[in-house]
Amino acid sequence: MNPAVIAAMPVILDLIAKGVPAVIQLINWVAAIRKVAQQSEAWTREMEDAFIASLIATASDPAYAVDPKV
Amino acid sequence: MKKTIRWLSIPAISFVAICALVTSCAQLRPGEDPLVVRAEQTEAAAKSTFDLVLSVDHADRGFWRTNSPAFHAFAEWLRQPQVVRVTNVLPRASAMILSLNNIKGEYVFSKSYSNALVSAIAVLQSAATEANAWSIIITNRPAR
Repeated sequence: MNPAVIAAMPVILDLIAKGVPAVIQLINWVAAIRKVAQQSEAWTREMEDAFIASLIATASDPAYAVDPKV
Repeated sequence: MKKTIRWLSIPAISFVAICALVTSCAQLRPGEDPLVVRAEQTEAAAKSTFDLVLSVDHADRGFWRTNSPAFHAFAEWLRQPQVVRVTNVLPRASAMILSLNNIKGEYVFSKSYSNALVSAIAVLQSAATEANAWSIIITNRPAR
């Protein structure tokens, strides 16, 4: 696990407790990091394919699109 | 709801959550290659972190462009289109992860070039660390 992620965790948890505006995304992030920390073996073929598909899907995700040129 | 959250002390919540996270960190199963698992953990953690940062910026781009231009510029840097696998175009955030995944695949296939894999993990980790730092800065606000 990236030490920076562990170092960030107390701050993120503190922000969640304060109920900052992006609290839902922060909770999702903590849940995802917990899942990552529990990984004990290499991904199965299906998990690998699903992960690659999620990366490819970002090409059409509005949050991943650059600002429109004006 | 907020009163209930305040009633529970913040340090106590943090302590319990950190204990749950750390103690639940699984050890590698026998026979698993630690480098491969480490690479996959890095990929998954980076994807979650980039998702967080970009979704927060996307929620109100105009606000961030005006009030935190450095953060918005970082988000835009993550979004810059990059050519991957010759014909595909992906945002830089995804392209960096996919690049590590490709190097991991080569390492699994050949069981050599571990230096390349270690370097690729370090590169992605540094970007994810910066994204982590931004996620802390931009979601923080002065106590009322």
